[in-house]
Amino acid sequence: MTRPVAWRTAVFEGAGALLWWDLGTGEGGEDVWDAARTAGWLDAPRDTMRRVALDAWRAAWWPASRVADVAPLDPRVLCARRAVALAALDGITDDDEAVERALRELAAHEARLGPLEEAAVGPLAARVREVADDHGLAGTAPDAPPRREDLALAAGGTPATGDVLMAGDDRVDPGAVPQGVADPLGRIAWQVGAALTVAVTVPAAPVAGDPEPVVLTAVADGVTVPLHRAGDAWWGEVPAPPALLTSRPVFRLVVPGFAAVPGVDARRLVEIAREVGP
Amino acid sequence: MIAQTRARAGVLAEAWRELGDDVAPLSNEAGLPLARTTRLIVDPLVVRPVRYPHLGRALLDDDAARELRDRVLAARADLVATAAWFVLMKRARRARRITTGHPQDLYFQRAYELAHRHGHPGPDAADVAGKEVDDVHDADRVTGADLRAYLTLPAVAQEVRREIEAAWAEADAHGHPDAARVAALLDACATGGQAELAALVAAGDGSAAGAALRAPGHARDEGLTAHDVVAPPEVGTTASKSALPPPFDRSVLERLFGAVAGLEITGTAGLRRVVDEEARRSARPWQLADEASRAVMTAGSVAARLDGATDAARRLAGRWRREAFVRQALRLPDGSVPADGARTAFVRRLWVRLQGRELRGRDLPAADVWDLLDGVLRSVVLDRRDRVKAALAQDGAR
Repeated sequence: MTRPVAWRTAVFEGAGALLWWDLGTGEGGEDVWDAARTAGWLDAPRDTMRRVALDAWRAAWWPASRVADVAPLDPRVLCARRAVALAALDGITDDDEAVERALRELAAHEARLGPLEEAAVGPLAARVREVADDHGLAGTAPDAPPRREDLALAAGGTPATGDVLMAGDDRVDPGAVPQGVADPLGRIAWQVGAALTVAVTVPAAPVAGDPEPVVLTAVADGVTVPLHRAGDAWWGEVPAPPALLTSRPVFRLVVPGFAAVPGVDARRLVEIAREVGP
Repeated sequence: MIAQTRARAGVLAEAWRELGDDVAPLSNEAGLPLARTTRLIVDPLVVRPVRYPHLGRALLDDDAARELRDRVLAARADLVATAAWFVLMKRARRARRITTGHPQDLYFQRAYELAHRHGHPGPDAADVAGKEVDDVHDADRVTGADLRAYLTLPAVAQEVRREIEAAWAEADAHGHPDAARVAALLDACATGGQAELAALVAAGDGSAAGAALRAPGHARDEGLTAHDVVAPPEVGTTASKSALPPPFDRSVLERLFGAVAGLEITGTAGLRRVVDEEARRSARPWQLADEASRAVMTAGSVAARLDGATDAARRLAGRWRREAFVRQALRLPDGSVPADGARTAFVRRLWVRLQGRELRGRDLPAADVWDLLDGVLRSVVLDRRDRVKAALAQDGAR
């Protein structure tokens, strides 16, 4: 089969078939890889499966952005919704432990951000605790984690001062970074100062609570600039290799261990997000 | 040639829906059996493919489809009562504020037994269910900590060490596995494979392949040990559930620690039996006791090459191809390819599953072989997803 474009596709991993919804075209389809296993559920209504798929897409691709004014989603809520929906699909998912996996993921988010109940989401919290109880994972809700407000101070940098020899800005490719790292509609702003250093600033993606730690670098021909998150932006500065001045560099973001998803269209992501909603 | 006309899962789904709302506690939103309903109740207790292998195939002919449906519907009263008992057991669990263990894993078979013994819950049912729950969570049951305490008694440790030595001294089996017979199982297992598994077991191909691992370097190539030559296991004094060494390098304690609490053993005699069996198991080919386990280990190790040579290998390779797409859709691409340690991870995980089945005394019918192999690769794949996430976060925290 021809598969849709990965970054704008919501997927549900069912027993024997992968269901997908191309959020860019509105098309849906299925990749049946074991027909015998799908007998019994493939013809069932797909509302809940689509909900699971959409929440997984939101968790991965929701383009929270200050530039485009898209508010971040709470990962605890997405996870809790997914756990509840997956419990309704028990016996249909490819992974028999999908509910437990989602619940453990929720617990990890709660350990970082505080209990789900703080996100004030009505009956969802009660329902997910019930599901957890039914799956033997009814641990006590974790305490609120220590806030790390000192983080911004520790990482703060000062922009290069003095004469600017060269400056520019390049597009952020959301496909090159994990969720919650860089504003998908931001620009990678860089400048080479008279002291022959290159400084790079990238707007950070707005996130609910403290951001998850990630190694981020800005890379151009012959130069790698490690970036540090300081509040709403990433910033870094390194000596500029002389070669950098001979032609206009083009910076891109690189996260070690993360292979870029090709062809991501940030504006389209925002349009899709507005269509599917939070 | 028998015409294979209907998917087993479809027949089961239809029959289950005919049971109606009374089995809702065992069903999902779509009115289909929960994964554990099928795995722990319907298959082993109602359909019983170990005894009726023709009902275990993924594809059934008309007669088998009818028989399967009849068996499920004939068990209607039992299943309805099982559902009712399960609800009562969950209620008793909540009343006792018990939160450990998966209720379905712990209570499903018990609820079925209660249904068999008492029929539908009667007036004293709450008491009966409460006693059953108490029994499941009996504080006298042997735990991992009890096992550790037992194995670290100097006299016991010495005795177990002697047993390991004796078992290893009489290590047997040799010969060569027949590649064609192994391939035949891998070609057949996704849709049947009963005759092919039986042929492998009868010929002892699994033992032969397992014995060949004693040659220097072979077991290491499979990812089962870090050493050139496999050594007998230590008795062991510590065990953590994470960061275990490869299977053949695990101590007896490490091999049993995670599973022992689920075996429902009480008392030292039971503990002793499990430890003795493990000591003997460690000396056998593939360090497994059953010939069927060894046959599946042998076949799995070949299939994990993902070389397209057999139906199973092609299906497994298909899972990796899907995974590359799903990883991108989930924004988790790490650029790794299946060859990156996936084969040895697969072999290790398969061994753990087979050893776990042996510990719990579960048979290994041909009908389970494909689900086992596919399930092992699924675990490897999902572990990798978790690892990508964890690695990104860990690098960032450094």
